[in-house]
Amino acid sequence: MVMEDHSLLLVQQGEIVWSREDGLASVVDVTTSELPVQKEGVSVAKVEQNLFEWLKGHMLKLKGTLMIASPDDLAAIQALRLRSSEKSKMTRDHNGFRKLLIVLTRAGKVFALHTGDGRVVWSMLLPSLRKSEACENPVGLHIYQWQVPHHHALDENPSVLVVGRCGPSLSAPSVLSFIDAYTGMELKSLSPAHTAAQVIPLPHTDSTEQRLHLIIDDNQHAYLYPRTPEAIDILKHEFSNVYWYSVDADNGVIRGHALKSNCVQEAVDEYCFDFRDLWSVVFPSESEKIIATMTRKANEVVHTQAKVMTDYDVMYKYISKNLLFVANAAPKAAGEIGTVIPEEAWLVIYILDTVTGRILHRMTHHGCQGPVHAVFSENWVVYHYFNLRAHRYEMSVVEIYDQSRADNKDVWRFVLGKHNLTSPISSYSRPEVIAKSQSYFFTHSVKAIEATSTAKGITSKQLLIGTIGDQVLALDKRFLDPRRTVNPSQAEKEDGIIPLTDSLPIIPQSYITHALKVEGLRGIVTVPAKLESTSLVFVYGVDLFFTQIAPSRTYDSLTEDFSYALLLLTIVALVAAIFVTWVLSERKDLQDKWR
Amino acid sequence: MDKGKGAMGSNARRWAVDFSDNSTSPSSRDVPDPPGFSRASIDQDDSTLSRQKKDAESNWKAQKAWEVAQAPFKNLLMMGFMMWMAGSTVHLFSIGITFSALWQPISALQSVGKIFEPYKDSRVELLGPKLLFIALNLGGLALGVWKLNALGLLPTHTSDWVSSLPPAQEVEYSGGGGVLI
Repeated sequence: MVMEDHSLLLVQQGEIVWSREDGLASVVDVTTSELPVQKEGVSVAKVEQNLFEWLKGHMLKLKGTLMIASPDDLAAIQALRLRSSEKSKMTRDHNGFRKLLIVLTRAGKVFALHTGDGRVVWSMLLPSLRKSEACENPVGLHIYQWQVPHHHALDENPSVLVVGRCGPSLSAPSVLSFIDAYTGMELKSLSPAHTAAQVIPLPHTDSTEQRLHLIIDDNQHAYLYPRTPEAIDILKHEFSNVYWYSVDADNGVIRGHALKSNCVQEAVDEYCFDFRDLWSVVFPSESEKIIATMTRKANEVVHTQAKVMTDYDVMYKYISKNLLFVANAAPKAAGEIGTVIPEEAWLVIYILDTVTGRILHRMTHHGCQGPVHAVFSENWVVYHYFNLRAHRYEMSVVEIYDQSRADNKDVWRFVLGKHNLTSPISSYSRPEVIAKSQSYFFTHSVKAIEATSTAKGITSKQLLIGTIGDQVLALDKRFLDPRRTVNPSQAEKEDGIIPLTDSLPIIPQSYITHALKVEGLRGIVTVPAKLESTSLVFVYGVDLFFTQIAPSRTYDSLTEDFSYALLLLTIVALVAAIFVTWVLSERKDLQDKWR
Repeated sequence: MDKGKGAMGSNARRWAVDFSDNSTSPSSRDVPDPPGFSRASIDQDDSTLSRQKKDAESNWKAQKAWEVAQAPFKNLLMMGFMMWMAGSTVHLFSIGITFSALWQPISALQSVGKIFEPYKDSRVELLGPKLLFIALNLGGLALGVWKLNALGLLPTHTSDWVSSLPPAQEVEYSGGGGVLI
């Protein structure tokens, strides 16, 4: 039997034999949540409560070591071990490895998966997204982090926001639902009258650590959530700095808007705002059709704005969160691969600034077509497409540097701190940018690309490429470095620049899925852990896969078999030796003086 | 021989020889002088002899002080040679040599007073040797610092200061994208 939430049950003679949550095969969106902080004294009480169980557990383990356990006992021992292991505890980890992955499935059911062993901690079929008279065809769209108590409101649990729609078309009314991340209970549910064409999480939070969101409907009105006067105050403070861009793929237009004022409507709604048009980039429809766009992740952390080249040369990265990567293909080449001849196919990529509409970089690839998969991180874009002339897939990298800061070459300005490199910048200052790019052949067809992300952004990045064989390959970003040359000089080799080859190497050991396949791979999500060297990777499709990867190996933690005993022994022996030799030397001095 | 000690116990003290010489004046002398010895010259040169001794002493002290002041020069040459042998890569040996080349002049400069103390004299001019000593040690320090620069460990380039700059904050925020499917 297939249930409303896409779970399967086998019912025999009125009894459920097994049930399986198959809704997890259609994951739509993923977000993460931290687990509660470990409180003192809780675990001790739990052990005392189950004293009898504890005794039974020990008896079972004893039977196991003495090899007199029956198969049932062995299964019980295994289950005990799994349950009490470190990685499946329900509290926060020192390294940040234990988290909750909150996934939204297409059935409208929200699951919370524990990253330690993948079990379902809670699951909730949202009542607001169930089929009813009010909502004919509910569809869950996106899930966002709503309240993450970090400094304030620490007695409240974090919560997530689920945005859904009540119908297939864009003009269907929207549904908002707020869910507690620890228990899965629905805190609040709203059915606003407006539609939800776009959701913009703002970088501002109010005093209870709720993030402000603007939900934009198809009449270009923005509605502010949470609907509190405090949120209006915060928005009014930052009114002139909030912009919105819309990508109209059918007409080939990208428009930029800025917040204007409250809505001009019959019913006065002070949480509704109007936009005014600022700029528009119109792509010529007879030669270009938008096939892919990509932006940077909003919560990405970049460690430093300078990149040191060989010979102590410094270039400044153009790190702006308001950049958009657009890939346009020739109208005839927008279909399947191979339906067009190379002369009629080209791929044009743009990098736009979405606040001013300025085109920072444009490049044309002749004889190439989509589908284009791209990832935008820090100051670089890596995109994957098909080259019809060479009959192979290609990957290109574009890195953007800020040329206007390059005048800061005087050492004394840095020593005395008289530079303005860390003062806030605005996109309206139109700094001069320079872009470096390179292309390489890549043999695999790709389903999804993502870049690793870490807590502070210090670790070098790896690109996680979901191949058509449903496996994930970890490719070091150093292979996609525009500075690569065929014959690197000695200084460049010391810098770590790999000699240029025409294709990217696929090292079989760098598949993070090892021998497994993630069937029907659809998306890859990376989450930073608290430990700087490690990043958590969640891959979803029909199967779900989770792992931790360390792109530069775990340079910030000791190996697991580090012998603390030897270290302590060495320290004690050295202190004893110091003491003994000190006494001996004092004695010798005294004897010399008395000679 | 019986010196005038009275007539008591001359038998018991027959072999006792009294060594106290009361004959400071030449008139009470009863031991004849050896041939060629003229007593008159001793009395005149008492003060000059001590002055000469003091002169010789201070000359010797000054000479020694200059020698000590020039000792760092040999040390400098030896250190220079060892640093050249250490090479321009950053290894344990080269770092160790550089730091010892930096530490020796500093410790010598701290103990200038102690080194020159045995040669301290009211008539000896110690300022010259001290200055030379200090100058040579500063030269050794400069050599160590130059070696440190040659190894690339001094923050003389922009890239050393700029790597710690965090990204600048952006004033505007822009969100959006295509339509939610």
